[in-house]
Amino acid sequence: MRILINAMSARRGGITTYTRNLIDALDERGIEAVVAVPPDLHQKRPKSTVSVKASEFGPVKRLFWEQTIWRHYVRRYAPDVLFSSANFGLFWSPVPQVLLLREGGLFDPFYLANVAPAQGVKVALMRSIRRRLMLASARHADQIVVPSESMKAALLSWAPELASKCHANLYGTLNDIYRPDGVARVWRGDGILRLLYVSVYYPHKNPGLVAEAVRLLNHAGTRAHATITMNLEDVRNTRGGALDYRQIDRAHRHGDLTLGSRSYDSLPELYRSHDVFVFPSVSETFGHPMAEAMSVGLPIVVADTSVAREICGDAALYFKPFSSRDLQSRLVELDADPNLRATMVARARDRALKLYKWSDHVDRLITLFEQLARKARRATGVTPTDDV
Amino acid sequence: MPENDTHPAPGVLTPEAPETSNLMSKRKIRVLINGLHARSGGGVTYLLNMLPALAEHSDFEFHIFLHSEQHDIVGDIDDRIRVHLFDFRPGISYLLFWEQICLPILARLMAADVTFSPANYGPLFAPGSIVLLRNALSVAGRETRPLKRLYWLALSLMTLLSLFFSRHAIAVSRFALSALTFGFEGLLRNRLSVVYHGVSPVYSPADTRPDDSPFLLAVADIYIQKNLHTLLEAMPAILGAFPGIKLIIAGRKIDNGYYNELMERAQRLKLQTSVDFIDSVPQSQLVELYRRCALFVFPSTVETFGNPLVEAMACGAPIACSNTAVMPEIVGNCAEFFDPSDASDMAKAVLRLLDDRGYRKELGQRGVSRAAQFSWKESARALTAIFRRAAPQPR
Repeated sequence: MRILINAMSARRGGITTYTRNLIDALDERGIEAVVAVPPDLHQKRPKSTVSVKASEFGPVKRLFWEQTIWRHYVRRYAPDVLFSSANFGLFWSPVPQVLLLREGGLFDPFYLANVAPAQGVKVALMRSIRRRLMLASARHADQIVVPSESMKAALLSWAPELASKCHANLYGTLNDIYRPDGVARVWRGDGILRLLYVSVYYPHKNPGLVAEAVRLLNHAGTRAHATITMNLEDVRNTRGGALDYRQIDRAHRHGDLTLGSRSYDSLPELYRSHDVFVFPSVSETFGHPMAEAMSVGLPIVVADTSVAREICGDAALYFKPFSSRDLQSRLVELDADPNLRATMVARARDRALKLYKWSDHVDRLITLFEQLARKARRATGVTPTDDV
Repeated sequence: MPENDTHPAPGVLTPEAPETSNLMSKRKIRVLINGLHARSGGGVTYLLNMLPALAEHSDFEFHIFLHSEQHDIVGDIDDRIRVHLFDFRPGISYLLFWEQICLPILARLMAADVTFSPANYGPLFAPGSIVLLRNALSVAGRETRPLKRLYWLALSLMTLLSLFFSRHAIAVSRFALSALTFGFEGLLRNRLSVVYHGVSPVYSPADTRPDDSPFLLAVADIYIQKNLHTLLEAMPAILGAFPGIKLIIAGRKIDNGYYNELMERAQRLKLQTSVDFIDSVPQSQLVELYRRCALFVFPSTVETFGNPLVEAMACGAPIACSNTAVMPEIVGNCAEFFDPSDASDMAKAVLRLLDDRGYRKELGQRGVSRAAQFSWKESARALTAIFRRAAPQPR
């Protein structure tokens, strides 16, 4: 089986992690795959990838490029399956196509009411166009994959006709890397409650809430500090980030926060060096960091959203979205109860091992590719990888 | 006392545009509060008191639009209210454009059921528009600066348009209802209501009130319609009978020109040691001033509600106030009245109270009872009833 993967959008955040790990997984399994990636990622994974500068194009030029130049490449490479891994796919693809939809906010009414407005009218127009293009891509795809049942429900509320070809395939994490180390961490070992929030910045990530919660904790006498893997400049320069920026800037100047992006390789140790993982994001399709934190065996406190409940189950404490006081309350509860902490930690690791193995996600994906390829072969009576 | 009253809103709103998702069919009533005009004083006070009271109503979901410049002024809002902070270009003309064009678009995209604008006017085409008539427009008559006159003219025009384009208009008093409906009260009566402000519970009487307090208290920002110049004119007569008494004026210097005029007048009347302008003070200090003053003087000529009156009543302060505008409606029989244009009448009213300890005590006690009827909780209840009727049906 030959797979061609469109990962041209893998420039930052979860999609980059996903693409990198997928490349490695396919390579380990000996599956022939070519992955179209941005130039930066091509440098890190030169084997099995082709550098595509179209990832830097604006949306209109990119759309045109993909539907014409990329189509030509797909025809030439003639894979058994084309995997369009970032929301947009080929219309009338010449080969069977699987589309991964991974941008849930556009379909999420909670996001549209609570996060979208502050980004303004221009972004709203772009969002509408993106949503229409994603839905058009979905209608043209042979199969659609989404990272969670929550995302599937949100998508199908807009396009119920996609139900028969839409599959929820939970992501996973690298459990052997994201694991506890041998020595159990001493809670508040230096007297400070150390919170961790791993994410790049988008307005729905809501890091200002963590800043506010730290302020409330310190004000109430519980010494606290948070590490947030975001750059203040990114927050300031993002449309819709004004409130987060003010809250984070205030807390940072007060010494309540450590900011700054971290390398992917440094994350496991970062998780292990903190007491609790907090995740105030209000709109996710999966939420990789939640799975990573569970796999490391951290107690986690997350915003009460449908996807958080789906991913974390009873392995997390939940707080009302956007409520810094409720987040503070959960943290105080956790701080006061060592038995609760031990229970959460055990459940978290157990859940991660049972449900979020990266290898399981890849296996399910490959199974879907194989099914699609077999179906296509039966339909055409030829093997698509024959010489063209 | 007149109660908050509501009138049913006519018609049923049309469904929202297809941009919104079907998943929203069972959700709370979504109210968008247009807080863009809350820059100082009464506007900020209104939001900070009303928002927590509204947030108690769990069948609603409240959102507020603010400009990032307002964040420091308004401060930390109750976290049950979803705050949306915008960074558009500052300035009054761009604000008007943004409010009329961008705000309605965003309100529809977020599927707001009601858009509440608490500063007289709002976006004419926003969904379920409700306006709060709060700012007196007769102030314009006293304005001489051309740009300011233009500002008041534009405000008046927008208020008039909002009356006709909005689903409902709420006035903060019967006086405001009459003054701010441009003679169309009869025509619009089915879309008009009165909902009074409340008073914060921090304003409460002390266990005992001093019998011989050495000061009169006036609480007013420094601008001309507060009529502090007439109060200064009344002071010589008051000092003639009570030479040791002082006048403390607590309020921000909004109009520097008027402030300088007051300074000159105080100097001319030889009041330099008898009058103290202490600027704006923290709330806790203001409460103590209300509790300890001999009496509270309110000579304002243009008010739609008069927050300091209710604060003073709640703290048990005896009151001497103008007999015009909204004052009689708010204080009822809990004050000694005077003609605000007559310094001599003002002095007589103050002296009547200073001469009669028993009368002062009686007025103070009546004020405490009356103030208890002004409640942010009740105001929020009345407001949400209007929102509920303005929202798309059924719920």
